[in-house]
Amino acid sequence: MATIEELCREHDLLTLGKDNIVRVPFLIKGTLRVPPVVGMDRIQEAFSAKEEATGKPPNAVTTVRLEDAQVLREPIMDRETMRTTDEFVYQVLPAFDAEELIERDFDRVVDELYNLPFEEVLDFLGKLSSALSSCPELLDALQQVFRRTATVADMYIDFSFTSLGYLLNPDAAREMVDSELSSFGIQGSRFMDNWVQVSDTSMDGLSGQLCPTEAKETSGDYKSPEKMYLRAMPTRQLHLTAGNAPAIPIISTCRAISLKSPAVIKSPYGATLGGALVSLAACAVAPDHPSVRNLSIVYWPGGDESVEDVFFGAEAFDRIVIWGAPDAVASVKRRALFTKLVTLNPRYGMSWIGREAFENGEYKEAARRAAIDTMVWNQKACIASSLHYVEGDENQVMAYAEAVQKELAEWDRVAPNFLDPSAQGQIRRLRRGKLMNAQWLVNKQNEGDKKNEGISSVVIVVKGEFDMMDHTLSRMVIVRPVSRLEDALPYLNNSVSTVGLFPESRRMELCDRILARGVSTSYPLGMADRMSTGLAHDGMKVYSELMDWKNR
Amino acid sequence: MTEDKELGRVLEIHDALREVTQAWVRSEDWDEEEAQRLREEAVLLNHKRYFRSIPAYRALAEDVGVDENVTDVEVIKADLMFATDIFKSYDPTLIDNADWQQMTVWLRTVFGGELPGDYSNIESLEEWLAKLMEAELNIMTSSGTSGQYSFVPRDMNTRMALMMNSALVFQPFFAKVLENISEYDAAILNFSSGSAGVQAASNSIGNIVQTAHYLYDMHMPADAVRVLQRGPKNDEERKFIEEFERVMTTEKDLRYEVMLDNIRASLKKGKKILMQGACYQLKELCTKAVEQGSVILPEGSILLFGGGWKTFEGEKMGKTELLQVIDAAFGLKGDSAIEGYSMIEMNTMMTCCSEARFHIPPLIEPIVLDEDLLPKPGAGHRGIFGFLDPFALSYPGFLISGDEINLWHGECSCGRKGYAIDGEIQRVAGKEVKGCGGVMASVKA
Repeated sequence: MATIEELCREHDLLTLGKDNIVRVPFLIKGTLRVPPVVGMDRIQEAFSAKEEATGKPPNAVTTVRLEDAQVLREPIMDRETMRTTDEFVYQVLPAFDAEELIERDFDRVVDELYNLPFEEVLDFLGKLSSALSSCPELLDALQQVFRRTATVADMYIDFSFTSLGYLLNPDAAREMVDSELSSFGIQGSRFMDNWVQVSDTSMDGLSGQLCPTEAKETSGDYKSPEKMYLRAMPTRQLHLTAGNAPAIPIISTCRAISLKSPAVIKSPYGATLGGALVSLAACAVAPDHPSVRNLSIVYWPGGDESVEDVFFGAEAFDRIVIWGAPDAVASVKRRALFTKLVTLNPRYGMSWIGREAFENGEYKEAARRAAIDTMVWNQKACIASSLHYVEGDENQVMAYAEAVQKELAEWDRVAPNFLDPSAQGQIRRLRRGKLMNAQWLVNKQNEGDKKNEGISSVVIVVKGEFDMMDHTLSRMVIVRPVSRLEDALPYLNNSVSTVGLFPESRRMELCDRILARGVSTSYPLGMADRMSTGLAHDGMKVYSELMDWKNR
Repeated sequence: MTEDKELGRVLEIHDALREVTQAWVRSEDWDEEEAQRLREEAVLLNHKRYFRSIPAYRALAEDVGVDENVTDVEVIKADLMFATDIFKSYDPTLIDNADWQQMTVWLRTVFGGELPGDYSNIESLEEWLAKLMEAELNIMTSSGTSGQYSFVPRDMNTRMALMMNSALVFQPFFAKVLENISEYDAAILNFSSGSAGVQAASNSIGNIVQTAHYLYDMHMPADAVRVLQRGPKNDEERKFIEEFERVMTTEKDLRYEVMLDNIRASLKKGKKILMQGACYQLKELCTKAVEQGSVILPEGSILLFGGGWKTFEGEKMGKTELLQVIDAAFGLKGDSAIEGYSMIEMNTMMTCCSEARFHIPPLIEPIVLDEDLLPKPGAGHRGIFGFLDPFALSYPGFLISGDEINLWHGECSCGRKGYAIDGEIQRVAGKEVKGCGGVMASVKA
């Protein structure tokens, strides 16, 4: 069997080649599909034609489809200024036919995958995890490729790559399955592997009891199944992932593998390399393993009807998991009418600071913790804090806002923000428009360099309501003064994922009232992204949602 | 130079620009350089006036280190343009709390005049607007797509400029109509009264004809959208919502049928029709007319439509397709079906030509900005539409819209030359959300 590095060398994959071209493979039901060799002339021609046809500028045309390949175009970042340049990295990916990814042979998957002992799945995950941890040179090289176009600071990239092995950790997978699928005090993995007896008594339903004719005693066993059995049956899953972190498609892959599910994972634009890496690792360690033979990791541009009309059709999948961007979630909800959706809707987090922070002189600590919650995956994660409600007088609120500004300035120093032109434009629009009368505390990046100067982070003290559609989700903190924290309760709804509170006494006091309003999580301030297995995600036990619970 | 003297010269320039525009309207030759020079002179004079009288403008200028003496219009384009959202820069809860005194204090920040008087006893938005009107301040409102109102304060000079400029742009289409107005009845796909910006055009048409048929024969209160968005607070509001839902939903089909019956009745009386409406309503009316076998209007009838699709994006129809439906329904085509484009912050209109270009009259200076909101020089770009409006005398007229356009410049085969918006106008795209953070729709927090 070839190693990951050997597969890369053999097929010239995942290295930055001539003309900044990177060849990225897919996994299609256990087979590594490598892209064809495509030269720069053909790529340029395709992009120019699309630009002309759509009237869009080069930076707005990000994908083209060739007869036998897809090409993604991502602008190269200047890591010094964190501005995009006019140069691009081109990822060449293989083409695929949507129909070939769909699993319709139920008998085969029952035999091969659904009845596969969970221990064998964990064994495979362990091998996958080890393979990814034992190729540091390849990971380092891949990290350099990712860094060319990544719109997050280096420290986020470093963390993502060092945690790859952990994401596929079999012990964590066992704990997730055992806790999330647990029922009747029985560990979840038992329900996945077998029918589990959960009751030894049952009674006839209404109709059975009212039946006017008498039963004939025949074989005598027609009434015997009084014992009731429950099983968590795997499902055929489509995971539409979002985000620009290489880890996200890997988390989805881990979920699908752990749950013994035939799955198609769509890598997001900006993070196709993580999925490709797992594809290579799977083919390297166990190409014939049932988990691999029933797994596909691919990319297509969101909205591509030639793919999505097939995938969203009736009976194509049992579950569609959709993360992220509002348009994508709304579009899938509208089109996939016959498939059960597990939607991880776009949401946002909040921080609530009680007046005790000022009475005890702890507001700087509150600001430090609130900044930690703000910076969860550079404020792009749904649990990241975007609004801070502060109970205090005008001076106290300003002192808090200034403390948050200082904290964010420190984050900016160690992890410079991507100066996204559209976020810069939005900040300018708010400052010269709707939030003209607000108080603005601005941290700048590349100060003095007129061409590259921009706002890296900003704290805005807003006295009135704020429309979340105006938020950049890029190191923007809206501070809203309130005379009582309870005044912020009307602004809670199911769009709010997490509320972090300070101090703890106020969290205990308000927790249930906050959570009753659609919020999923209330943690101590500064702990928005703390992790533990078996906890709810967006109000759901996601592993449980991904299974079909069956009675026998 | 005193402020009066500057205003006098600005008004002279307005007349000069309208003179140039007369030639533009007739597709005759006109001096582009002279028009540009006039616009720039007025813009620089208005900068001085704004700096002295509009607090928000002065604050922005001081923030970027600019005083009242600006001699280069490029400085204004780069640093002194406001987003049109400036007219929404108040705390929306002031409206919910009926705090009209504080709303007046806010209004003063974007308005270049005094607003003396006590507004604390005012009870409703309508009453507030009426009291401001008594002070000769016309506030045009728009709820936009977010549901938060814009309030654009026009003094009488600015209001007059809007009316004169719009009339000038529509002259080629409406001159004959106005000469023979007694021959026309109006079919207006709107409410019979209200203070929203789009209602102003409806009211203007409704007021000049003998008989005007309205799609909704009810008054649209100024605060209707806010009430609908936040839900009713009292019986009166509850009653309004019920009435609104009845008219807009339950009776929707019936309303279109009644409108078609009214049009037929006017035709029987030998009248021509002056029709006006938004794209989505027009589509629905045309569909109903075609279902009923068409209602061909007599020659000389005119349709004015526009306003895009806004929250009716799901019903959007391509321009060519819409024109085909209009022709099939009413037999209106070419110069008889005029698509207009404007916004309540702008003091002119644009009309779409046979080449699908909205020609920008020489009255305003168009600008395209990149997504960073920095101006791109010249034309031939796609970007965010901004403009310098020399006719905005009482509010900052250097504005960045929420629309994305292709700015074109040249001699069009329709006969007009100068700047135009070429092709489709789109709302500026929402931010790309990478990750799971964000919101599905407008959420107040």
